[in-house]
Amino acid sequence: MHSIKVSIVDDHPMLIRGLQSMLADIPFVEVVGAYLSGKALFRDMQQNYPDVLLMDIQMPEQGGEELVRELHKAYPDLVILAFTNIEHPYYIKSMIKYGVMGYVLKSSGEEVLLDAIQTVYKKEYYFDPIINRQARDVLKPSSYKGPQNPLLTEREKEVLQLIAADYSSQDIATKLYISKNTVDFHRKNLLLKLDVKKSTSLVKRAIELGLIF
Amino acid sequence: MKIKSKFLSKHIYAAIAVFILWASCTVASGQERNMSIGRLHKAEDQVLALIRQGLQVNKYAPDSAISLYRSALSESRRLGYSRGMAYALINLGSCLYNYKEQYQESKAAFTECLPYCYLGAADDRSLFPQIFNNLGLLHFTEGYYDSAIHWYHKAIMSINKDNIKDTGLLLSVYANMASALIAAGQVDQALYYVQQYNKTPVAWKDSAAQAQKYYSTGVIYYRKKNIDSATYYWGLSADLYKGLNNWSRVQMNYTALGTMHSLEGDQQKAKLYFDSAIAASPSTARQNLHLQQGLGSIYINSGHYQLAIRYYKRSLVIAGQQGKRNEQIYAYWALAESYAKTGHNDLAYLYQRKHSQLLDTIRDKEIATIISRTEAQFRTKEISKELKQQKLLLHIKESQLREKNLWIGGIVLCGGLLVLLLINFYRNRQKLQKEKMAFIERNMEVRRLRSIMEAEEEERKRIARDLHDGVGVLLSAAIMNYATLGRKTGTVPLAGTETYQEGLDILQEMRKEIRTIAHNLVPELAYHRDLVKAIEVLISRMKQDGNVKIELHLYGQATILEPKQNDAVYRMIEELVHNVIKHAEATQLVIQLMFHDDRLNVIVSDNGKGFDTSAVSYGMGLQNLHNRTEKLLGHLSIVSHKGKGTTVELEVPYEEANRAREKVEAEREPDQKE
Repeated sequence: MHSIKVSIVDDHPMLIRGLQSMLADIPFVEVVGAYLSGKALFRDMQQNYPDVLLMDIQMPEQGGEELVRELHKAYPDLVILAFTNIEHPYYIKSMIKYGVMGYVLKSSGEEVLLDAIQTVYKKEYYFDPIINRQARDVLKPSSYKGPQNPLLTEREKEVLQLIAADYSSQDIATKLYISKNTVDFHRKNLLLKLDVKKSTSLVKRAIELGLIF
Repeated sequence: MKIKSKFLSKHIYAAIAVFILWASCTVASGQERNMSIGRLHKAEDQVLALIRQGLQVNKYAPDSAISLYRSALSESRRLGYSRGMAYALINLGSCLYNYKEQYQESKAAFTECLPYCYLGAADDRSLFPQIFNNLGLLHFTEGYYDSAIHWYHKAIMSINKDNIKDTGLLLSVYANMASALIAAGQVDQALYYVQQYNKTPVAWKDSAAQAQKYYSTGVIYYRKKNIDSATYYWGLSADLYKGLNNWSRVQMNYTALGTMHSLEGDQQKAKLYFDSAIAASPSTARQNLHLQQGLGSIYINSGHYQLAIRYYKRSLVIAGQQGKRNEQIYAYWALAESYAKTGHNDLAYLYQRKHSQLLDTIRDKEIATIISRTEAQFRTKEISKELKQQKLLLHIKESQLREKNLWIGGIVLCGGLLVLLLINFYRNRQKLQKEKMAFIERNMEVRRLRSIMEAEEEERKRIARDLHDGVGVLLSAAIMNYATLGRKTGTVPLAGTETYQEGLDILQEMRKEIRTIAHNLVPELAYHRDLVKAIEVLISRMKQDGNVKIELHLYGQATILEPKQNDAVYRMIEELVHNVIKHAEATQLVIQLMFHDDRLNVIVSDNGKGFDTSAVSYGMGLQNLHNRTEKLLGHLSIVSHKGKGTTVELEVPYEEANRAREKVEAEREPDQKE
């Protein structure tokens, strides 16, 4: 059977050694590289291109998020498996977003890791059972539509009236003694609140909802 | 019939519940006896040594302490050593009361103790008020308020007569007296004792005494039907206890708040308070009689009889364990009601009968108490014998007696009240002013405590991180090596052996444990993970504290913020909400979160009194907000006009967007140089 070539990038030398000796006994895995930083990984990438890259998220020089982004740019086909201690939904989400195929906790033991390596190698997603539910929640985030009749602040109503009267952002800013940035702040919020894409539809929707007359 | 109708009023029951809360927290202290040895023989010296040993382990091993006191007791009895009897009995009684909640036995010990005090320890005058106070407390616990008041009177008199300088004891007696008077329905007299309590100089730093005083003030206001003031003082008390890390007392305050709101008909608010009460000290919640009763009360009032039954049954068990009869009667009554409502007529009947039976026994004792008090001065001992014969007669005379008592009480009360009211009218005004000043100073103290707490929180986070990321990773590495070892070792594979497996299990258990410890150290991180949920929690907490209506509106697709950013945004919103509640005098507060693709916009607006943004020199809070915004690379604007409310707009670009932008800028810079 063809063995899966695995590389490791992690800033803990001790953990790398542990992983190496553990994986050395597994017949279907071959460790082809181990690196203490993203830079070292990049230097060796051409010579030792792995099937699966095990990657820590928290590393001092270059964090996992950034590294995944760069790797993905340079090697779009590379299979990356996040191997970390962090189980914050934000990281789970951002790592998935930037293209990791799996997410495994360091505390989860041999079986999980081996299972993960084999699964992502087949280009299928794998999530540690401990974070599986979180990961699924993260993948389909809740969307807030807001109330039927969105609540507008006084300022938003003023801005909306002036947009309806076809004033530009700059004009509105001058008229209300506020900065153009503030006008844009309100304009964006209005778009979101009324659930429309363009300022022109904004007016139509506001009239429909009876927010302006 | 009159008495019965009094007991059937559920308001009276629950009101009693609130006050016993207070009393049960004032424990009978029988700790440091002045056990002068004097001209003692060796055997007697040994008795005192036994008691001293008991005192040392009292708190940690009450059972051993009790057996030590009991040996001291039997030894003293053998020697005919009255002093030893007195000390052994008072300590035994205190220990039974404080640590074992065995009130009957405790009372027996104190009662037996009294004659020995006169006989053998008359020189230790401080012993007497302690015993009187303890006896009062025990009568109170059993629901005999008249007797309790009688004993407290004796305690105060004896403190004054012998000029005993024990402020702690005096305060405790005042507090107990006030709660007994309140329970007996004499609010104004109780007020007098609270004022005595306030007048007694206490070391300023003693915030526990302060907290208890706030609690009692809350009780008084509640009895005066001043819900807002009661809420205010109980809130103050809870806050102080939080600062002292005394969570069972925090629970006590929240329970009182919950009970009050439940009685006022606001079951939802009550539920929130009870939830907070449970959260304050989950470990004691199940044994907290009044909390269980309160939960029963909200469910019975909102028509959830099944749930109500569950909680009342629990309260019945606790009341039984603690020998609190009034609480038992209340539970029987509530259970009968609930079962009747759910159609279980047989059970309803059963509890109704238990209720009447217990009520009858208490009623008999009540009559006895009334009689014994009127004639106590003349012949206390004979009375009880006669009583048994007169019982029949008494049933007939019962109503007349009560009437007569009422008249006497009324006249005395009116006279006393008139004088008291006149004296206190002016005093009260000054008091209020002082109270205000004290409150400001307390506020400073709270602020100081808060900064300490924040520092502690940081420290906790750091330890959690070190554990989780440092030790945790090392352990992971160790486990990997260990797993390898199991396969590798030459001729005998270790993996199958028991020792190996045990070692591995221990390592894995350790890793799990470390993860749990780290998470326990920063539980708030768990809910701060999700900004929206964290804000929802904040809102439900804030709703308990004030009359502000708070709404949360969400727009767009929820984005999970980077942890630090998430935390900062949460803290800012928290600060804003606190500010509105504390200063704005608003009735409405709206928090809007708008999740855009690249940024989060937050608008917090209220309809309060507003302020002049140009005139305000930046207070700590506002400065904080600006600092945080700067760190987030965000934008903050505050729009406010006098009388027109305040709107705060906050714009925060997502962290990832920031990082991407920084990167682009960093890449662009070298190009420009070239």
